[in-house]
Amino acid sequence: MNATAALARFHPARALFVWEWRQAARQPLLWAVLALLLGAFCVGARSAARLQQVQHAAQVQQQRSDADWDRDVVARMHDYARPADAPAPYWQDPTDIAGYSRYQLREHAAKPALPLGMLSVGNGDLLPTRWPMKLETPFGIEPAYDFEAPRQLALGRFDLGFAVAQLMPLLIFALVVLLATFERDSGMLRLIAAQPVSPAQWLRLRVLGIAAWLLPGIAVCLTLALLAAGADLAAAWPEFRAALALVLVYAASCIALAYFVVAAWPGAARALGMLLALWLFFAQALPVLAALLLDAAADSPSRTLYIDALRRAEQHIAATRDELLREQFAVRADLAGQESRIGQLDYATRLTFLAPLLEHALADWQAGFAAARERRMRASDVLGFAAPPLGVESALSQLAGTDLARHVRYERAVMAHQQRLRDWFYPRVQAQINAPTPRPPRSYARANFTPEEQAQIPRFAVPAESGGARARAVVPLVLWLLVASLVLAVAAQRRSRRWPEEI
Amino acid sequence: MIAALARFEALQLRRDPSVLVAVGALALLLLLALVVHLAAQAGQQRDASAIAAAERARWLDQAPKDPHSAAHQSIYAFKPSAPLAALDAGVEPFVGQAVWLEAHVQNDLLYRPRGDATPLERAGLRHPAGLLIALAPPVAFLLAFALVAREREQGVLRLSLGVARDPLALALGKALTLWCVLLGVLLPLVAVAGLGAALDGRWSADLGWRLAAWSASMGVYLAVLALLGVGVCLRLRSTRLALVGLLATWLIFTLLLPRVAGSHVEASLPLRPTQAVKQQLQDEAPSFWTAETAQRYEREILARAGVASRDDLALNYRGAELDHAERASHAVYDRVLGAFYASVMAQDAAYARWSWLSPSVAVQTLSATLAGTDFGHQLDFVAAAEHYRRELVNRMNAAVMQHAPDANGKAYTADRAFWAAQPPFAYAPPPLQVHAARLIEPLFALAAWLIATLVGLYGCVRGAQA
Repeated sequence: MNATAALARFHPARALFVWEWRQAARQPLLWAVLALLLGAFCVGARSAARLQQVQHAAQVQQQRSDADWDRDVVARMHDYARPADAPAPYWQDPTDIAGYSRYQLREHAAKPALPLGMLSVGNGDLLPTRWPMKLETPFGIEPAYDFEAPRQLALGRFDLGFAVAQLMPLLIFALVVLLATFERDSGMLRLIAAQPVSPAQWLRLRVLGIAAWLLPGIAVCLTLALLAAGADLAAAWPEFRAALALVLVYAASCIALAYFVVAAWPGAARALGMLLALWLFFAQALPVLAALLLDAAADSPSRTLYIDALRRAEQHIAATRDELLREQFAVRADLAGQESRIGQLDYATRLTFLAPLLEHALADWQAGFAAARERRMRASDVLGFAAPPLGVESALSQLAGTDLARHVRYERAVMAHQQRLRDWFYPRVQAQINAPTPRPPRSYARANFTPEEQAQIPRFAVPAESGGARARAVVPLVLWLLVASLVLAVAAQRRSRRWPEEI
Repeated sequence: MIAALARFEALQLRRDPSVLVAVGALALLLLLALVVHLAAQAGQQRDASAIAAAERARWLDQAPKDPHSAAHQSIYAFKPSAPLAALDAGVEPFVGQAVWLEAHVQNDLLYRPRGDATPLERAGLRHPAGLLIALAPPVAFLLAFALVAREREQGVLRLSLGVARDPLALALGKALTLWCVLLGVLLPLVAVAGLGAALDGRWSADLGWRLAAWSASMGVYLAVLALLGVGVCLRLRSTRLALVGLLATWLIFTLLLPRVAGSHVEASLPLRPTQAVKQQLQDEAPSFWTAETAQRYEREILARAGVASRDDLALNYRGAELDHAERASHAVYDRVLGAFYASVMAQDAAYARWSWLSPSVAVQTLSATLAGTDFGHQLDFVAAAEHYRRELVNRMNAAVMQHAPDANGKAYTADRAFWAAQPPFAYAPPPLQVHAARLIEPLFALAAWLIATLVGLYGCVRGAQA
């Protein structure tokens, strides 16, 4: 008795699984699906990696440019120390602390790409990856953005997230349905029904045989695609493990869904039609309906009305400028008795008082935008559980660091840095009102700001980020998909307890 | 005969509840999307018109001041949403809708409606045109499957083709039935979109032409799908194969090729990074120039006027310097931003070339252009706003140039009469003819698809008979 025969005699289920497993490997369709997945994953990962490289290069170029500007400013600081008949205008003079704070300060805060950025473009093509730092910008965030072709933004990219969340299920459905319904469609099911095997066991082992090739194959495809796109897996080990778990459990849930559908013994056409309808509902119709509902609710403040509010606030501040400054001077012990100088203050010095007032006037709008965005993000997260393709794409972008939540954290860091810069500059600028540094006689430069002081200006510090935290963030979705897969598999098992009546 | 066959096929289809559910669900989804977007668009339009009027009032009511300061305060210009944007928003969600027209700088259009979209908002960002382009193929193929493949499964098809006097008419009858059902989804959309534009007071002859052309393009697209679906089902010999063939066709034409085309275009014709463009603009046309640049400007102004010193100038020097810097910046913006926008348009043209490989790409391109929501239409607004900015700022600087400070050294201030003499910003989108060139290639490609699928259907009928 050879080993296979012995296995069949004493462990028939295991023997049948081995047989199904070997049969699955002989199906060209299995290898075609895996080849398509590998190709799609590679193209997708490469596309995201390319965008990441372009953005990184732009950040590096920006840093170089800022450093060149700083060197030029320092050179001009030294150069302007020369004697001259007339002084340099304050806004052209880097040795004037007020002029420097408004016209010469140049720094960009950058959001660096993460090692597993090629997992998903996410919102990385839509949101800025660097912010110009200006003291007077309301709430620190310039509304500028990096231009990406808008047609491409509307269309969406062919990235790894798309290949995993949208393409992979369709290929899995086609594979499982065609392999699991072959006997049904070709009239051979009655031959199998005549064997000593229950329908539930036969179908389960058939699907397990396919899954036993498909799941490791998908894991290999994902790993190869990431490596080919230049991912440093060691540097992002927690995210990589989480991504692998997420993709595998998502694939398993697709297999379980296909198993559930074929467990009712439909023909391939009916099964595939049903799965396609389900996919269209979850991947397309549900997000569209939810987005339409959110739009109809329209609880976000209008950007157009915000412009009006901004303009009204600016106009009010411009019209009552001196009065507002007098109020500020009155409550400041260090500026008491200096009200007579208000009319002579330069624009940059006035801004140190007025910029926070403008923010104060717009604070409700800012809070409204932030709260609305928070609500929209929550809605998106919740819907990710109801519409798994959306949830998986979203989770992959979390692991890649291209998600909106990370962007919001960076915006907060940028706002905090602007406050640090204000805390550094404003006292120095305002000190010149009360106790101005004496201007050197016949000097071109104002000379109340030195290269040594310039070197002490606080720089933007990249917030600490943990790969483990990103990986933990996707655990609920992984568990949800795992539970869904198990429930579907159990339901499919119960559903397939009888052979179809017509055989 | 084809019409009679089509009537018979329609009767068959009506007996299939899954077909009715699929078509009904698609029609409802499209209408819901259209109504929600029409309502949102009307609200945005109201806000934009009100704020544009408030901006003009602010301009007129500003206190007497230095005209150059007024050029800095200036106005915001708002891009009116295209009347058919509720049908196909095109690039509108991802381009700025308002621009601050201030001195020295050609600002970007800001406040993109979906500038900070959540994953849900991006996944769900489908206007009726996008939904129709993406979802009509599976519905069309389901119908084709119900009409053809099931007949093959039951053995009826072989009999029908065998005894039919004109088998092609039989196949065309099926395709015609399918097309009519799909038109039943399209036509209510067109009617509601037209009605929406009329109720909003934005109906015009140009809009009528656009809507007619949009409907015709979508009609041809649906015809291509109908012919393709029937042809594939006829050609492939089993229902399993037919279904896989239809699934693959949808996957390739609608899901894969548009995104692959986008990625390919981006890789083959990359845009300059925004950072590089902005850096160049800042270097060559700074809004705040250094003392050294100011000295260069002075030399150039004096040389052009043919005088030796500022005192010899017949003009206010400050005004002359502002005007000089402003006009120098125009050339820089035209060169740098002009080239950048040209590269975006070149990308769009390269994308349109993929229309020959996918009817979905063809109809996507046509739809956005006809709806007035492609990047070409956005550029029209950018150019109009920039033209207005330059005219306005030049007039403000001219006023500074023409008025020397008074005896006390106080600079000239303009008043309400001067503000009122400046025309308000008004934008009327250009008619469709201006953009006709961009329609040619996708239009020919879609026509080629129609012919190819007709010929293909003939071949499939012959093959099925054999």
